[in-house]
Amino acid sequence: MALAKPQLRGLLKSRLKTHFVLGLLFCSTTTGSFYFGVRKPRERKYKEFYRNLDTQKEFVRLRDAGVFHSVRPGGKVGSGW
Amino acid sequence: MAHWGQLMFQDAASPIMIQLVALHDHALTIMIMVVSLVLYMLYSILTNKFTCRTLLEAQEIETIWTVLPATILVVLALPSLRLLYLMDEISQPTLTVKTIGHQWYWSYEYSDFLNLEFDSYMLPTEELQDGEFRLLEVDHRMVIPMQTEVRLLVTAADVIHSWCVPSLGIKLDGIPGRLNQTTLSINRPGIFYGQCSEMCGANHSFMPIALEVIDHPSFTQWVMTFSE
Repeated sequence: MALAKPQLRGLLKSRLKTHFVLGLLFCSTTTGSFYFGVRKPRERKYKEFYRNLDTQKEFVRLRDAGVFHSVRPGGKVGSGW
Repeated sequence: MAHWGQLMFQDAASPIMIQLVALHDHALTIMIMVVSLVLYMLYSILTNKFTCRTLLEAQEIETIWTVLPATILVVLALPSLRLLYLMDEISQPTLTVKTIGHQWYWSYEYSDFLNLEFDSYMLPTEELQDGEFRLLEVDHRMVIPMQTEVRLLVTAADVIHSWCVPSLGIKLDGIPGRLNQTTLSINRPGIFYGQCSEMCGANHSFMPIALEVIDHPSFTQWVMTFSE
């Protein structure tokens, strides 16, 4: 029973071919993970935040919470400048 | 404002800052791609036991590793240049505010109105109320209306200071004898904080910036208090 002839030449070349493909796969995985895991969600969150934002409602909420110095809760003008 | 453990940017509050965050993500994507490829190649080289005695030249791979990095740089540069020029655009500001840096406080002048100028000193820690932020609160905040293009002119009276509000993506040096100009346009109401960003002496860390962004009727009312 004869054994299959092992590869005797071009070992570096064939190793490089394999690792080139593996390297591309690794690189695509990490880049894709960042793109779909971080970048796209962040873009989506900003879009949704500004699509749903009612600036006047937000202003009234913050004003009535007493956050501003220039305008007090209820719309009274602030003083002290 | 910044919070404990923060790694990335503060939440963007202006269109320019939103674009800056997106550009940063784009650059980071490219960086992760390049670094992971280089790290893998490093691993592959370190674990390699083979060699090639007859290797002299390799025109194809030389071409690839010249053209590919050049392409990556173009992909990186085009959005960057686009945003750089976008940041310099000034269309029709409805309000102008002059910011003057002093040792160690900011002063604000609203020359579109009469008698509207004031100084803005940091509130000492012992004078803070509950819920106020140490080293960020000021006695008189700069007030501007939301969703309005505001021209900002920054200068200084003594040494170089720098007016910086990270959530708006603005950092502008205040240089004595020079007016630096930029535009502000803030998407939403709130208080936005920043700190002096150019070494200016002993209290450089104690001259913060606090921006109060309110709606137009409230801003008009506030301006009227100065003419009373």
